Amino acid sequence: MKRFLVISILLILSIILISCSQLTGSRAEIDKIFNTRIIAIDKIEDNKVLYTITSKAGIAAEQGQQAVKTTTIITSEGATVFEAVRNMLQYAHKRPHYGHTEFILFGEDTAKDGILPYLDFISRNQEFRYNAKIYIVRELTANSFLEKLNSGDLYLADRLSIIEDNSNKLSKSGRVTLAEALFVFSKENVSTFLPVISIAPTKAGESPSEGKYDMILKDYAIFDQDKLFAFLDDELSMGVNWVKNRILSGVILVDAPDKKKVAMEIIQSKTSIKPYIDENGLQCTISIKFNTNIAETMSTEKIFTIESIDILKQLQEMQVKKDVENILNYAQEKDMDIFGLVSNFVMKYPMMKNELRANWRELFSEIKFKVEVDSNINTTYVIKESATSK
Amino acid sequence: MQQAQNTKDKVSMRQLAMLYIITGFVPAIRFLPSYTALVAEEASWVSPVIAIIPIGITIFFLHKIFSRSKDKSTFDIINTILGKYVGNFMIFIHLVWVLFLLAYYTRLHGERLVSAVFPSINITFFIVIALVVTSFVLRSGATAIARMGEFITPIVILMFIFLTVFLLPKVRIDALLPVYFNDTIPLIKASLGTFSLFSYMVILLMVSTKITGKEKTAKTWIEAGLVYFIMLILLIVMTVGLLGSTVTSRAASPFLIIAKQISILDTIENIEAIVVAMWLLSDAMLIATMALVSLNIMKYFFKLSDQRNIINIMLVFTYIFSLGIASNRFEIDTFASNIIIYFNTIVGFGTPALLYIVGTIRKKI
Repeated sequence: MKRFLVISILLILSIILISCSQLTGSRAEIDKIFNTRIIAIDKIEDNKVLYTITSKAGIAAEQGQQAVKTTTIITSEGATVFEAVRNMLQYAHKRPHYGHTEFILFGEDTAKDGILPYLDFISRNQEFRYNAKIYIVRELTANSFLEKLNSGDLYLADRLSIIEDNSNKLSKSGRVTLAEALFVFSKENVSTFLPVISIAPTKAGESPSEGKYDMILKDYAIFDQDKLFAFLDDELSMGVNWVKNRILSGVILVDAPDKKKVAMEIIQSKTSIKPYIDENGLQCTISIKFNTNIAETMSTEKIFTIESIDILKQLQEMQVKKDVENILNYAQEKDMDIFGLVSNFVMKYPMMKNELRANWRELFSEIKFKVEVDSNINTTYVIKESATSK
Repeated sequence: MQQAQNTKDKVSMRQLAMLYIITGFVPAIRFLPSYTALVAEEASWVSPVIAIIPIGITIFFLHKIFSRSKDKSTFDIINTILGKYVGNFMIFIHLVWVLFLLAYYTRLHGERLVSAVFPSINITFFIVIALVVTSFVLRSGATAIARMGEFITPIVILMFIFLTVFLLPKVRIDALLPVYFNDTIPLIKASLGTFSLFSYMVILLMVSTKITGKEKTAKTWIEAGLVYFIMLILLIVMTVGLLGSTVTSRAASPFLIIAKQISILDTIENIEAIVVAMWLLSDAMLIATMALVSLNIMKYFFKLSDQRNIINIMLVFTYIFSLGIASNRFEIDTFASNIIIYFNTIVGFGTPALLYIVGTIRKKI
């Protein structure tokens, strides 16, 4: 009798848990859930928040035709992000779920005002994940960026995901997760960088296609605390990646003896930072070691000799050194430690932790940097000489 | 009948140590990373090591007290050393404290699920489920709960190892260093967090009047302590190493946040269900163990022949007390960091120290 009672109670509880929506209010059928993959946040007039979410909304193809892969975009407004999220429920055809959110986009103007107030809801809400990536949309609101790109060739999130993976081949941008961003934003007197996405009309031949746009992921935006300060160009962005040891691959262009271009493909790289303090003040040696392969030569000269390889090696080292020195000079001019170098100094001089952290802005601009670059050219690919060499 | 009851109460020191790992790990996951990160920042992960010294001393005291009183229950030992009146007063203080902890952890079990996983569900739902399950488990006696601990503890440790494998490579060294002499004072304060959790060892010794293997008290607890310390250090390294000390100190469930970041080969994600399973299993053990200790003390204190008669009364009281203990999560957190941590430390260190000193002076041990 007792066993029967226990089994009955367990059965009743199980039935209640899976079917009673009054008791378990968060229950929802899977076909009624809007699995959000991108959220976009913009500040609009009256300090209101324009909140946009996207998810897949494929339309089945008719016989012999390709399926249209449009993305469903829902927008909402509110005085805060949370209010906008709730206001959306007044007309959203499905219940938004944020457990699969991969990308968080901020419009340029919103980023200039500071993104931390908008990140509060995302970092507080139990559905979001801290490995979602943050991007800054250049020259547009994040909402119009999504609207313009929703052409139907590919789901927006898939498109962004593919470009993000491909960006490793250039190392002119990168990915920054919510956890990484919050980590830096919580530090005093340290700046950070976030990747930038933008759009450009799709080119068909020499003229742009009507109403079609490409999504472009390149460059970094740098932040003074949580406010967008400036956009970096290609070379400065790559300089950031060299200093932060975030180079995965990439292209270095150098001149052959006949001034024609030779393209080197970065295969491996390693950056080490050695800070020290002496009678001359704060000093820092940045040592970069990298390997390349010769990916292409437009020169007709014989460049695959020991002497020529040595010259190419020196040229690529000079190119990298220039990129790194440029970004270091830029950061020092603006008094912005976007590399988090304070951590390197604090780790080496822990007794000076409080002093270094409190005065880091002033101290950073006084650091004397020494950049050391060492490289090796490993190999080339399936032919040893240029097909057109003399 | 009495003989059957006695068999149900038999627990070995090794089983207690296993129970300790799981019951101590629940509050550690919730409280330790945030508390230590707030106090000791980057150095927080070293704080469990500092706690080894007072814990080692406590284990020494307990070994001296228990290894020579193999046939006596913890209550008998307290009464023998301190005398009937002072001893009973000490036991009564422990009863009040354990009843309070039972209500506190029952409430926290609900709060954690409501704030991290099921925000729209009434907290009473989880509290009632936990207490109903506890009611059934308690009727099986201390031996059954100890065996459950033996079974569940390795499962929880394996789950933790699994999460560690995927989280440890993501740890940022600059979030964990530097650790230097100027961190000594914050580290000592942060180590209080680890030590306060160790006080449950003293409480667990009241789980039964029939504890076997007392002659191996020191060896058993040192082994369990080592496993527990490694888990605590890994727990803090992973949370602070991934989120940074500032974000960790502000997070209500930092371990859940980092578990949500796990991605296996960019293919398998959303495995934080493992953390929720760990919570549920560990919470069930913690609540059942605290309830069992309360029952056992009450049985001794009120000279009851069978404690099963008061299970339901005690759990109804726990239900009411768990809801009335605080009006919101903020009050509970404030209470934990301002009162519980210190009282745990006093009970955890004070009781064995007092018993050892008085017992040595009165030549009772």
